[in-house]
Amino acid sequence: MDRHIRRYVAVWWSESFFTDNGGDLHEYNDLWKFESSTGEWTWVSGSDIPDQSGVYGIKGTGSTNNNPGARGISVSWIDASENLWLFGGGGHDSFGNPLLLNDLWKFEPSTGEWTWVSGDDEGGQPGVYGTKGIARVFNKPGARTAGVSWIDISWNIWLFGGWGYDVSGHEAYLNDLWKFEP
Amino acid sequence: MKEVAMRRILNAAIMSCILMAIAGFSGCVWGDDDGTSNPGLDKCTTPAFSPGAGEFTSDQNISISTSTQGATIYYTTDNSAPSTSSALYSAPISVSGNGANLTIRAIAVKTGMSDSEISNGTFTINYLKVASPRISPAPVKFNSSQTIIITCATDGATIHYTIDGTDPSETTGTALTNGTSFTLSSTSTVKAIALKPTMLASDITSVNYTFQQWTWVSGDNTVDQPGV
Repeated sequence: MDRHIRRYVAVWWSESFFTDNGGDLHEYNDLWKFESSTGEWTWVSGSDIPDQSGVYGIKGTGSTNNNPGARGISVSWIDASENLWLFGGGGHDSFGNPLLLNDLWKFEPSTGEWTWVSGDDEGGQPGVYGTKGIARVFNKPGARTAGVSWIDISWNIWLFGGWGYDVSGHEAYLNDLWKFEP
Repeated sequence: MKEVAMRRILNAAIMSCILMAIAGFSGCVWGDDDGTSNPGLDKCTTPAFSPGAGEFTSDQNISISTSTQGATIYYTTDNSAPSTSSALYSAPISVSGNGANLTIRAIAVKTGMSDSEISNGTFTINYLKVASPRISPAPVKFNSSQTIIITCATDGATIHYTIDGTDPSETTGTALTNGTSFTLSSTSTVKAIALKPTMLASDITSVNYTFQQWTWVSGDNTVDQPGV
């Protein structure tokens, strides 16, 4: 393994094993699948060139042309339909700037399409908290890295803390708990 | 002899009837169902209703007229036979309200003329139902605020809607002008009803809108908070 590459995010999907890259000096946005039955790795999407900007496309519309920017220390999970989800991390936004991110992505293995679902295509964004306990489509966690996440029995996504931006755009450790209804 | 006697009796009876008719006696031969006709006189024209009797989808004002110049019209609404003791017709009679059912019986009367036949008319009001509202856009999963438009095909209808799952009514929900919109930013059930005076309220239309949405559940919205 390249000494500059660190593997931060790994998620299970069916009997395959996907992994996303994070970088110390460089970051990648390549997506890989590992077939446990054959022991083979497949390069599924993204670039083999580091530090790629995100290609966001139209929010809510999937495309094989879309790609999250290269990043690391994101959070990820799988939904009931076995789609892969990815949130934030430290990486490259749509402008190529290396910043903390709050973008939420979905990857559908059946189509090979990434969909930019929520958040911003520009890094370093503060959170929009709204009213505690009240769901709103314009709420969004601030850009962050190193948060932790869970899936509940209803396939809602839970996200806690990390290092990132609060409501005022101050950057430090966070203790906010978020729920996302996909 | 017997035939002659019979003829005399008959002639006497006819003569007596003619005399009684001239004297104003009305109980001899021609009685109407209410016994108010005057035999041998011109009869008032039977009153006519406008609109004619029948079933209507809106409130009605019923006019009664007779072509007999100078005749007075009396009417009842309790199914009894009208007479000069009944209500005097002077203005259209209102039949209003969904389910209203009114039978009007009327008679025209004029001095020197025989009373008219009685006209009977039954008027029923059954309001039409306002068209069900249409809520758009179609419900797919949204990741941005949506402009919700509610329309109703019935001209002049107003909309009442809710977004909390309760049923709107004439007295509940938010009023909205037909064809206008509001913004929805979270997962909600939109219910709408269309209303119009003198019409039955529409059926309730319900649409579930789902948003991909974040909820700030707990913790702080500022950084570097100590644990509690």
